[in-house]
Amino acid sequence: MNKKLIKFTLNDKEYKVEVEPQVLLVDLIREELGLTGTKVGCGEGECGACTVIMDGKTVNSCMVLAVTVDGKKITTIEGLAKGEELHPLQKSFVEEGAVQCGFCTPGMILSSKALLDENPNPTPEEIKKGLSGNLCRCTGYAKIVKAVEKASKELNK
Amino acid sequence: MNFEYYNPKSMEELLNVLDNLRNYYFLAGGTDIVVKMKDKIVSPQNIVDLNDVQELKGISSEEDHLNIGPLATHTEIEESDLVKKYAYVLAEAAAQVGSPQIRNIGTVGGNIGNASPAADTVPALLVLDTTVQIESKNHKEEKNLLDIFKGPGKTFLTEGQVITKLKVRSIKEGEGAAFVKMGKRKALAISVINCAVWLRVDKDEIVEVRIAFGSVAPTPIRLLEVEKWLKGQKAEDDVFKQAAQMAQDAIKPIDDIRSTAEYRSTTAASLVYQGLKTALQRAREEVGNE
Repeated sequence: MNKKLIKFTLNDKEYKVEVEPQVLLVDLIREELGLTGTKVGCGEGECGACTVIMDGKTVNSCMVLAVTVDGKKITTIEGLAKGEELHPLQKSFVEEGAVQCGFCTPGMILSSKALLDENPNPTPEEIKKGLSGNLCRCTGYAKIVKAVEKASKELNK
Repeated sequence: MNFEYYNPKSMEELLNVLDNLRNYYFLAGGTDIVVKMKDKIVSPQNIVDLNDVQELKGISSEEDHLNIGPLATHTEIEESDLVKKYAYVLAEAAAQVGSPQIRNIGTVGGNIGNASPAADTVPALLVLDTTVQIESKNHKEEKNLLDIFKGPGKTFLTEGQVITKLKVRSIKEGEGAAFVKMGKRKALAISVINCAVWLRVDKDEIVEVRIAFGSVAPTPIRLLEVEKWLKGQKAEDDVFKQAAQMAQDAIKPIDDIRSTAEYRSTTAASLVYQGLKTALQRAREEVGNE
């Protein structure tokens, strides 16, 4: 198979890897690069568990061919904390009980981050819209919305 | 998945690649094709990635229309000041596609090329009388968008051809348009039925009108008979109600996994009614309905 050399930035680190064109971004991230915070749920863009941020916008990494991220900037859940210090969104999710089984959490937090980066003061309606591509089967969403509101206040301090 | 991967860097290179290639699929946002390949619904020998062809990107305005690159994502369309000003109904439709993640990467050209009868941007584009520019190595032509759909998942594009531009008619003073969708829930729902309406009024008279539907036939459709009847009528509630009934009688939807024919028929009437009402309201506001 013809491997292609791609260069991209993942969580502020430069990567140069050879990939087969069939490889999905999520598999590159999880299997090759060993960052397993990004989850695979439905595999067809319905659940958002595989959400990563690509050039400032969220995408479902299970529907992106790795070969197409050449030259792009990717952020996964591992890129949020600074050493031992959690990102305000991670902190507020823990504090508000917005994490239950945890499977949707990385995707939820990345969608929340992309939202707050564009709109630092979202209304609860805007938060719900921003998270409409992420499913959670545990929390009933109320705590997640609350956590995003809390983090937005924290980030605006 | 097992395919050869091509990623041409310019229009010239793209047309050359296509000229020599058979059994290929395009890759734009990939939200449809990648899933279909994973599920082995399609197994193309070749994938032609369009994302490095800059000529296929961007949104610009010209006299009476917008030029929209087929690689414009739904998010770009939804957020574009030009689209909001001159083709608000398209922004309205793009905003209702899939989820933020899908809109961020899925493209309007992909929405057309997939030829899903349920595509949300297509009825909006149809009522804006969109022309599609199609190119192949030694040929360039323009077709009305309505004329490129053959059936579910099929267009009349032949091998070697690619959509290179959309020309979308701008909404002017005295004109208004609206997109209305019925899905199973607010987000991430493929349309059970969708509808777009555009009209031009002069005082109280409907001078011109276009109505398009998705998910009621093998391809997106225009309701030419109802449009003809509406022309010259008064822009008022009773007329809209009659048109809604006519629309319901005119379409022949089917039962499928997402809904039933009966539900679609009934809903069609209320979508046309709502669409006409909102379009009229917007025609009476400022240009562009911002």
